[in-house]
Amino acid sequence: MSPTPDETIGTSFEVDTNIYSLEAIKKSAYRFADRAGVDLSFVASNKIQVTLVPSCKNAVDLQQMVSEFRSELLDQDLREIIKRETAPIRNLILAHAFSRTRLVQQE
Amino acid sequence: MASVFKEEDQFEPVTGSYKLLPFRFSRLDDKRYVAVNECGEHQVLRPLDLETFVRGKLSPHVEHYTLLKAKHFLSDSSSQIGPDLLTLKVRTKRDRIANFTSLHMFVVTLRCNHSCLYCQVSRQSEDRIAFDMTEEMADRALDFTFKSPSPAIKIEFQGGESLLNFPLIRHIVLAAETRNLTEKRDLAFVIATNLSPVTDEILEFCREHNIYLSTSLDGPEDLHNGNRPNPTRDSYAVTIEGINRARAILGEDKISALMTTTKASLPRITEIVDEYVKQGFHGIFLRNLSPYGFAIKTRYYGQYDSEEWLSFYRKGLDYIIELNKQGIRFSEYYTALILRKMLTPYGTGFVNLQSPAGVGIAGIIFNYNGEVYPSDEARMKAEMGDKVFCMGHLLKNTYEDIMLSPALLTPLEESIPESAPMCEECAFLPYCGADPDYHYATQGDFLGHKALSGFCKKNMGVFRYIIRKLADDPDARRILESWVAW
Repeated sequence: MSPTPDETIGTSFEVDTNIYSLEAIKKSAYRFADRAGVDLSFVASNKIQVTLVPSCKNAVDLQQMVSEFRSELLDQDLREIIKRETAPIRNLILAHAFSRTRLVQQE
Repeated sequence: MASVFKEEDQFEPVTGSYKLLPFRFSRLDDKRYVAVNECGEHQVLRPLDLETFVRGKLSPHVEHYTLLKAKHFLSDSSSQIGPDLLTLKVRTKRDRIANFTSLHMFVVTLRCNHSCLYCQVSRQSEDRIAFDMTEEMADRALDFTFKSPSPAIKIEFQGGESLLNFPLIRHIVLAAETRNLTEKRDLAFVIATNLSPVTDEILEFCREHNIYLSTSLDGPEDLHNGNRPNPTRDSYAVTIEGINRARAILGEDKISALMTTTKASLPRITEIVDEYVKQGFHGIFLRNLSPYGFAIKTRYYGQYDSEEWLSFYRKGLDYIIELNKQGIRFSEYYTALILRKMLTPYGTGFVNLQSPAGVGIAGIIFNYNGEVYPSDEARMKAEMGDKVFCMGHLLKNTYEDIMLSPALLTPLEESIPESAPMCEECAFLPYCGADPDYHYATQGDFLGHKALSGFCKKNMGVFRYIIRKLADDPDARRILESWVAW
């Protein structure tokens, strides 16, 4: 997963999809829209190549950007755990919270 | 002698025996995260603590275990009431949605005697009565207003300069009060005015009918006059004289003021706050420019970005907290309404921080010509020639046609934060809202890409700053807590 920096076209690195889901990778990429163009492509069945091309060419720290992308992947991974584990209770709470209001249409 | 009671530790949950309750988290700063649950309770955590907690390995003996439990981030074998309390708080927080529209804005005229450079409206000169709302139109707007199921109805008069058509305001107030004899709603009136046309007769009428006034005060005299020019170049003096006259007749609490931040305001936050203190106000609403109407034509909007405004806001909040420490009771109203969301189970009626978007639901606006819009900003967009938000016409469409118009439902549906990329996973979602007008104006669609959104940058910056103040400065925390209206 070592990045290959190139000041003109950005930098690329690989992410293992056995560790991070495709959804986590895509969500991380979406968050970079203000800083970089992001290209994702499979380079092996379990490897995604992420290419970050900074929107602003002036004095961009590519290593820093890669580090932030990796931190974002970890955050997204934790979010997936919370979402998975709390889905039933979340739906129950919301259904209960909105019951007996006029907002829920009776079938 | 053998004890009949088991040891205390027998009642304690064991590590890893808790269940997560739903919450979201975001970075607070370089060293910390903030977790926020569905009802708006928040907890600041170090990265390692967050990960340990989410992976089910948090010890019940650490301090933040108790805090996370008390705030309904987890439930364990020693108490099962967390999910029920969370449910009640979520329900309370969302209570306003069922009440539907309370704020009804009437544009009684587009005429104005000021030429403010940041004006969001395409104003008309004082003599053009073609830009006045008629009595017939006002009566139809009142029919519409009382169709709302809301137990509280607030009617706000807007312009142009609304008092240039005071006879219509009088007509609407009297007609609304007559209808309310049978409707029995909690009815309130506000006139938004620059105060220049105000007379004792108008103020007496306001006193008799318990009408509030909302005016504009941008700061010290030179700043105010520069931002809000009038033909006699004395808009500050006129405003201050109007405020004093209004207070003398209506009472101190019946008039409030709003400021708008221009580029000229940015370096002058302490002077602006001092001006409000000097004029006897107990708070200020630090408001940024909006990308609508005349503000776009004059290129006033875009003279500063979200980061510059945030710096202005942070300095302002720090200064206001300092004033409070010196014994001057004064608050920042945008912060106060966010604190209500953070520290109480209640929501607010503030239109721009609602989910679904508050436009059309929390507030609605009747233009002088009978067109109905979901917000003040949307009708300003229409005055610039884009009627994408026009929900219908008071003389041509029914209440049902208008409230079920695609011009309302499409922006509402497409902008719901709970299903929006980045918003659905954002810790600050329970404090934030959708602003389809803003994102349509700046990005051309109702949802907008939040990584590119000035609305998102501004509000995330405000939320983070408030949470850091609450977490890091006990004196500031006590002051901020005192601003929360229950």
